[in-house]
Amino acid sequence: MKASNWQVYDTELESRLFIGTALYSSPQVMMDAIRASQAQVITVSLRRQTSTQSGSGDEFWNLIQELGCHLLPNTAGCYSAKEAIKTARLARELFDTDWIKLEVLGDSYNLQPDPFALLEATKVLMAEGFKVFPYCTDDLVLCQKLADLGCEVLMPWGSPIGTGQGLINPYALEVVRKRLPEMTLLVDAGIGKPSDAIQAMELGYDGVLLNTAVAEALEPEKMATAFSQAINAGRLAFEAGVMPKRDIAKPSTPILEQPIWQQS
Amino acid sequence: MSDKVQIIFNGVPTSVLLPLTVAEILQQGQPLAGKFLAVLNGDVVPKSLYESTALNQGDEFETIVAISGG
Repeated sequence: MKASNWQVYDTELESRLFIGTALYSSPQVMMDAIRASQAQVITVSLRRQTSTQSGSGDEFWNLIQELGCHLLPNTAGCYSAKEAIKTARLARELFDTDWIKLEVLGDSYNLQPDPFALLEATKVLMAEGFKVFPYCTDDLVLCQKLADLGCEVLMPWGSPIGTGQGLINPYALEVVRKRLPEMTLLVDAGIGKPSDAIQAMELGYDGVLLNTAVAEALEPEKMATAFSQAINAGRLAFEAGVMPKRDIAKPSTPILEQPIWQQS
Repeated sequence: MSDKVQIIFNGVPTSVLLPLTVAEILQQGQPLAGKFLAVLNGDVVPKSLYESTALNQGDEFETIVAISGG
């Protein structure tokens, strides 16, 4: 059984997994993993060409075209609103999309988003017609302010990028979910294993964005399959309605009409 | 008559001879066959203007390509 379809801005999707295109050991490994993930959205980036860069960038461009996925360009590596805005504008030209995963980093140690610069950049880009996917922390007030600016999707972190620590503050993520019930929410960053993704989905998150957990697995294609199934399972569980926790045991086997020899 | 001037080409100070168009400088850099952006002083130059857009001393010219990202 497949979980329900969902909406990201004006696009309907089946898969609730967004997957990154970085860190794979080879282009073929990337292609195999992304196909196995069944993701319909892949994250990409852009850079000034350098003298040390091999090739023209065409190989990567051709590969992502072959996948036929929606492209979600990012503003990775930007530490100011100005830089992020400039990168977003170039990304729109290069990738022919209004979608932008808006990253404005505030600290190089944990790559934590700068909430103030993120708001500033979001305001400018929303006014320019971008469909902004802000990579943010799990701070409720920040998320509310991003919603006030018109964002229809928010992507709070589970834990710092590339750490694989999973959801280090599930309480905060749950509060964001409860306080913004209409918002499309994805956990972005920090997912290490499929059970982390299940946890996010069971909290009611609409999707998960990950990269390193698949790319750095011993067998990326197999791990991509595991995440695909986990995310579907987590969403199905959320839609089915998880039973409430109880403090007192409750027998699952009915005690009426037991054979006489079991009734003492 | 040609003038040798400095521009910044993909972040590197570079001496070039003027007059020089965007179309010409693109042939001096790394090969660019497919999808890329030509960016002059922060603004994207449309392909239709490569032949007619001239560079000047001190200009910053960049070629932007797609790369993998997370």
